[in-house]
Amino acid sequence: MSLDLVIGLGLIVLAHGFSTFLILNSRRRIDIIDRKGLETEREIKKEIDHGAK
Amino acid sequence: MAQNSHHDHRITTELSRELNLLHLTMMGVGMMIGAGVFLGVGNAIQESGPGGVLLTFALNGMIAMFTAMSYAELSSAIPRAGGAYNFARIAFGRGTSFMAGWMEWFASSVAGSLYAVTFAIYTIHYFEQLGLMGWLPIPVFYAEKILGVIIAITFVYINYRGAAETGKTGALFALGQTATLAVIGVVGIAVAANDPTRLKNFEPFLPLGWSKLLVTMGFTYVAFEGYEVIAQAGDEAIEPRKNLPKAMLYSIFVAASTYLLVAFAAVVSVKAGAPDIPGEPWRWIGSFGERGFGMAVARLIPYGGFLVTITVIFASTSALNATIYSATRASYALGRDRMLPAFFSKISQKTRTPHIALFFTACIVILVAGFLPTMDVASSASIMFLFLFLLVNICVIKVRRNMGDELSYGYLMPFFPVLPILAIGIQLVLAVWLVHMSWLAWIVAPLWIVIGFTTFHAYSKSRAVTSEHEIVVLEEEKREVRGKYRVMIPVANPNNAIQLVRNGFRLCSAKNAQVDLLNLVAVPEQLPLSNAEDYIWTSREAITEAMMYLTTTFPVTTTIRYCRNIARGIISAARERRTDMILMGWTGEMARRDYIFGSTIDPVIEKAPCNIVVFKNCKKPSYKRILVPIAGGPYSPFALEVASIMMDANEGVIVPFNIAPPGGETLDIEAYIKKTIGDKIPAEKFQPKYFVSRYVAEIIIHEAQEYDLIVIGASQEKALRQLRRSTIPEEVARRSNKSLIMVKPRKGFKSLIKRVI
Repeated sequence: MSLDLVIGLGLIVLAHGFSTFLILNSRRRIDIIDRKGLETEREIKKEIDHGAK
Repeated sequence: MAQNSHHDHRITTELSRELNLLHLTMMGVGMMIGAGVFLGVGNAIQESGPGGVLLTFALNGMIAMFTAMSYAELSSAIPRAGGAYNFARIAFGRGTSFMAGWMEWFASSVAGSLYAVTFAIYTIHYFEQLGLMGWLPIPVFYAEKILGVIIAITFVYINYRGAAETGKTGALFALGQTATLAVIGVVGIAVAANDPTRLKNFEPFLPLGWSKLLVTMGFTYVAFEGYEVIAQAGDEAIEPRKNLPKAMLYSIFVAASTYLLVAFAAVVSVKAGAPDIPGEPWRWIGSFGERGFGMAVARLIPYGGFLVTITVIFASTSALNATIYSATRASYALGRDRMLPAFFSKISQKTRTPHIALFFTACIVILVAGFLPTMDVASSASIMFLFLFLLVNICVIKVRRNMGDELSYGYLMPFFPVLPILAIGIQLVLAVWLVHMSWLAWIVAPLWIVIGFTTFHAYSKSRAVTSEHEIVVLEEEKREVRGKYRVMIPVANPNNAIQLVRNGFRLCSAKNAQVDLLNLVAVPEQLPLSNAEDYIWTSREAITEAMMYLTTTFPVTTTIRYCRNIARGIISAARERRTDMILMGWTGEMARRDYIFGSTIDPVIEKAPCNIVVFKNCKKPSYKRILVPIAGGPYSPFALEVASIMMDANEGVIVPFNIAPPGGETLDIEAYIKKTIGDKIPAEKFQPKYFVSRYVAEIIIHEAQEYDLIVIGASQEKALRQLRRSTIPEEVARRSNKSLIMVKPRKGFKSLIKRVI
């Protein structure tokens, strides 16, 4: 198994995995914002960054 | 936006929001898999090897996700149709927004050229393989160019006629295309699982080095441009604050996952050491360049070549159509705001499409498709999209910094501003590195930008008009319906409005109804719904007359509703307003053989979540002798109720008419009426009649000659309706020349679900 293969596969898993994480995180944020009727940046950051469910 | 008050009798306007999360997502996916993957896989394998193609799509998918998040954040706060053009306007002002629109115009046009060329390459190659191209007197390369130009002209004409694929139809095609590619990917996995030696096709992983990745990532980036088209659908999206950002993110993820799957399948499609494959499999696939993907799939599955050709035909033509009207919208917007000459915003009186903007867009599409080599076309499109997305990433930072607490966000991205800054850096590098793939693209694209810059300073800067709505957040109003029975009278032809409201007067009166008078205006795809009001003339006089007729007696709201499709506009309005009854008129003519009543009435009867009453030939306010054919089905009580309302109060009589088949059971009409209607209508008003025959429709039509009005329930047979085969009620409705009312009640629980959801 070449080094290129190992690094390459690792990068693919990392890239796609990070994309998946971003999607799930974003969906959670959208749903929280919608459910709680949040609007401005301040309200959203306060709710999401400080222990929102 | 729409502000409803039934007290002040104003005519308001509204937009028909019909695109849900699935439609929006598939619009983006459909745009993305138009050509990029079909051309990109083969070329990426050639340039960077078997591992390189996987890395290309995985890394591009991640970077595209960063930009998608910027788009998503901005679209949730500024969900007005316009995408990057609007974002740049709000972030930086007129000059930058001009450049965004200018770049978007070029990028979409050139992407359209790419889709036209992809269609041509795959089609001609397929016919070549079947041995059908021997007669061609010119080299295949020229034939591909000519066919590319022909298909581009065809879709320009389709756009001019306004017959664009609707958001919903496009979504269906995109679903099919994605499913086909997913199947190819899954087959590839199955083949590799069955024969693990095929995994050796990935060695060496990056035979040409890591630096080649930057080139392949650059020219395949066009395969990830789809969120702009979702942003442009902002004024048609249901719950835009929530659904626009979700659709953008989901579409990138679906596209990136699909590309990874098919890239894997392409590499493992070829068995190393096969007699007709000299050398390494990846070199063999790459040797075919843009046709490499098709060649690989042809070896993977039976009839793979045919499958790919069909998929490419649908994908590329669908994406071509979408990019032409996307590009047209961009130049139309510049003309509307007078940053380009006003004739760019001119609308054809005949087709209601922005035909001048379309003409100039067509010039770019045809010139590029006809004269630039394929990879230069792909590279030009990619560079321009990279610049455009770079600008959007800058905009998201500027807007959040300057206006974070003024705007109402439906989504706020994580890791801000790290992700947009990363995206800006990587996109800049990819754009610059593309010079290794196509130096010509690096002449064409910057030249276009310089021309734009010069145009703005020499022309647009002094002429641009202030838009009335600098920041317009199109909020979806949730209508609270309390108490009153709501009757909707949708009118697509305002000249028929007054007759229709006269017909419905007694029904509205009997129900003590709140009346929603709705004038529907169909807007072609090339025109944003939010701009339709400025350009589409509606017959306000006729709708005003109808409104005045009603307002003396009923609370009335009068609305002009802009929509893509009249039937869908009616159905979505009925859902939004929780309508109890829709009244419609039918001329009795069949415009098309594939519909029973027409392309508007048929879908409304089938899908609207409320009672439906359709009038044909009804000119009197009340009727003395009313025939109601009944068979004991669930629609009969409603038909009897409507008949009782339309009946002359003094001399009217209702004749429930039951026709039993020979040897069959006759309905006990009196018992049936007692059970279903009870005492709501005095029993002496009914004069039941019976007949025995198997020719039900003929008997009803014959019997009706002695009556003033027929009231009949629509058919319940959904399967026949879907096959567009008429049933007894529809047969009677079409063939009888008497005044006729066809009714369909709402369907209880199922209808309740439709209204709520």
